[in-house]
Amino acid sequence: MAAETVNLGRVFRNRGSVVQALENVNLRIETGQIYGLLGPNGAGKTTLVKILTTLLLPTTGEAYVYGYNVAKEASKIRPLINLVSGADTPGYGLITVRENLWFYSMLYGLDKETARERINRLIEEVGLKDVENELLRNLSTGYRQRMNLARGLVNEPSVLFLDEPTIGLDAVSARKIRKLIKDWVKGDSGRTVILTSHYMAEVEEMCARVAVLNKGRVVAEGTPAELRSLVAGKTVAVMEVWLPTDADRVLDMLEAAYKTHDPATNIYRIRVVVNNWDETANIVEHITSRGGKVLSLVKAMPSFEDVYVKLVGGGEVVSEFEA
Amino acid sequence: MDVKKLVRALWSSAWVGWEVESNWTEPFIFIGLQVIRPLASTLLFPLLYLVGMNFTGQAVDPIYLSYIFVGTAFFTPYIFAAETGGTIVSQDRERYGVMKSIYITTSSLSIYFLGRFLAIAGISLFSTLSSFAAAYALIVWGIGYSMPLVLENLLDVFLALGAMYIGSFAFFYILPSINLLTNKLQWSLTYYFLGLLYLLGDIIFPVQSLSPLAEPLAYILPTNQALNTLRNALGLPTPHNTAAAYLASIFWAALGYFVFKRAVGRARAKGLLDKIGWW
Amino acid sequence: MFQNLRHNLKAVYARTYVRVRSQFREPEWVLTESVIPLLIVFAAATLYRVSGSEQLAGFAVLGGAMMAFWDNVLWLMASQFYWEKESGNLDLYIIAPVSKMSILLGMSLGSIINTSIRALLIFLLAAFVLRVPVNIADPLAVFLVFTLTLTALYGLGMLMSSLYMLYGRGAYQLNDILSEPIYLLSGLYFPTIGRYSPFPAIVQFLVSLIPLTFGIDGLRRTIILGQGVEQIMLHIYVLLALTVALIPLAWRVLIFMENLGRREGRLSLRWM
Repeated sequence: MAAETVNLGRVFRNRGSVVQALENVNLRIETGQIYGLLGPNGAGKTTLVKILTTLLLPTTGEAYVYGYNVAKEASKIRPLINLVSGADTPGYGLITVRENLWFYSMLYGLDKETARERINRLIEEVGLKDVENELLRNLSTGYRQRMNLARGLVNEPSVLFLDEPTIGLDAVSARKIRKLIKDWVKGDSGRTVILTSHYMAEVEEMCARVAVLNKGRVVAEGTPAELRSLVAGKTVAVMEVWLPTDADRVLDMLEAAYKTHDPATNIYRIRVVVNNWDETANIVEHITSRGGKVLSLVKAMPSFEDVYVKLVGGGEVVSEFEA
Repeated sequence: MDVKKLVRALWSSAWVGWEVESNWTEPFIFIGLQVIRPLASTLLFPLLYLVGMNFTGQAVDPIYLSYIFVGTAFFTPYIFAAETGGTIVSQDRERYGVMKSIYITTSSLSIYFLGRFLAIAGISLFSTLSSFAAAYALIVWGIGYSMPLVLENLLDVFLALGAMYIGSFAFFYILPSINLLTNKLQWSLTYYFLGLLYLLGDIIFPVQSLSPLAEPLAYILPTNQALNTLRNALGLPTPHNTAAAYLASIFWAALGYFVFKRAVGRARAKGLLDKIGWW
Repeated sequence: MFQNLRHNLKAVYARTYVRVRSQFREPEWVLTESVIPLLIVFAAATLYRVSGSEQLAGFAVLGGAMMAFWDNVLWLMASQFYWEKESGNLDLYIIAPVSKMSILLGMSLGSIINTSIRALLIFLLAAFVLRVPVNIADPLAVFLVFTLTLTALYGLGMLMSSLYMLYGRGAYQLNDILSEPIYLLSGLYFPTIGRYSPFPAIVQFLVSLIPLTFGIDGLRRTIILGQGVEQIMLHIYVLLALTVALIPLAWRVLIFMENLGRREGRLSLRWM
């Protein structure tokens, strides 16, 4: 078992305010897979990762990585893990990529030969050959993220935590990073990746299993196929609607995900999951009774994104795909 | 020019400056930055003088002690202006990322900076007066050395303060002008300026003490005559020239404003208004 | 245990390397950080000269050199973990299987190397320009007091890093608050302990807890006033006591702060 949580909870207190970031989280993550943590902003994904990487203590419950308790046996966990956060670009700007990787390898106690061999290999695999002797501060975001990933792999962790690793990257760079991660996991059956993201396509593409978090709780867990089955037998109505005012309230009542909105014309393109096609009549009535107009209505198959919206609620969705 | 809009922009900039600089919601930090720190810099050189005289067995000259004391106390407005002016660009451009947003408003960066300066001027006045009073008490009643300071001419005091604040306005515009075009000096520029002024600005000794050739600097730099006017107004027999104080200060303020406008234009042309990094 | 020690020594070496290498990638910084103290040194030395105490100009020169160390301790040691938190490095230090003291020790060693070069430059330039008479009667005394000053000072820096790790934002402002008062109280430019101190005994006692106070006084005595080991035994004892107290205290506080940070969730929260 790569990681396990038992009734895990975490509360933050700051100047009188209390935030329940995680509540009763129970997860079992097997070795040798990419496991996804999906959820909107503030769902608790990063908090969970921070607990598992020993950065944060749980308030209630327990968490284990490779059988070691995160609160009491952090020193046994740390040699086995590493963390790559997409939002950060750690490293020292005034030393080169290679020097930065060497530095982190020393923190993991690698001997000279092993460090050299591993750094050379990572520089090739991650695509840093052109910039290995560049100062970190001179690199573009894409290269810095690649360096970040190489740094995360330098100690050959058994569990690699990736916290939104492709955030802020263009589509091509993001695709490269995803391929690297998949190839890395395939390279050894003992390797596990725990990946947080709010890009559904990324999670669906990469993860063997996914846990969906919302407001600190696990609302669903399973393979992407199992999660899609939550909307199996259902249909999606893809609609173009014109709404005069109060659009968000109307859409929230429909639990609709809207893909695009043209402010000039006030036309929304939305997706609504329905049990059967007859329900669309109610939706049309709901919209028209509030002064809106339905401009087009098309049937579609439910996607992973629709599952997500169903689980965490309607509203704007981050997606790479058009409706 | 819409005066109402101008005033509104000025007021909101001053308000932001007050919120950012004063730390009034954290009393410990407020007292530390606005009272204790200026108090320490006010006391440093007078105490250096006192200890030096005692160490070498010489008698303390109360007039010279007062000269040093007034100089270091009323250097505070320049310090505040230089420190904030020297860091405002890096803070607003890189740390908070607000510079580009302010630039594209209907107001201008000049107005924003003026508002920020007004806030810092108000805060520095409080700091100057409180550290002056506390340091005076410490030296005269705590350590026991007399300083024959007497409020002889209130008008001259106000005139001197006016010249000082006009002069410090210059720093508030000159330093950001440099930092707009290069950020390599963002941590050091302020201290170059202040260090040079300690040497040349009649803060702790007349600039002529360095060399008689340095005397013209007493009429060129914005600090010298302003401080000497104040010293005279407080009863010290210091040669001073109030008109020269204003001429120098206004010249530097105008120069500062002109340089700032040019720097903003150049920064825009080179795409530096929102540039982050090391260049 | 030996393996563990080797591992931690590697971390010390690596962090020292990063600090020293970074400094030499921007050599103009050495100039910048030497010139600024020089301006104040010249001002203080001129004040001594103008007031007829020219022979004390050496005090100002030493003060300028040692100011480099205090500034380094405040800005590059004490608040370093705050900067690391901002960039995301602190998380990686926490999860690395190495003692955080190794990281701090590496930072200290790197800082000592960099700052010693700067301090020496300041001292030599200022002493040359101002023709300050240097009177070293006992080099061992100079070496002892300098080394102990640095060990105690950087011990304090390590202790402050641990505190600043959690109180990031306020720590930055605390540095601002601490700079000038410490220049004044610790006697960078004039003695603040002993016979000529302008401060009452209680203040002298309190400022003695800052390693810089006894350190710079000891250096004044051994470099400018030509005193030997016998005359600075008190300084040696005090600095030794501070070293012995501060470094283990820094270690304990670091462990405590890390656990507190993990409990309260402050270690990786940027707004705290």
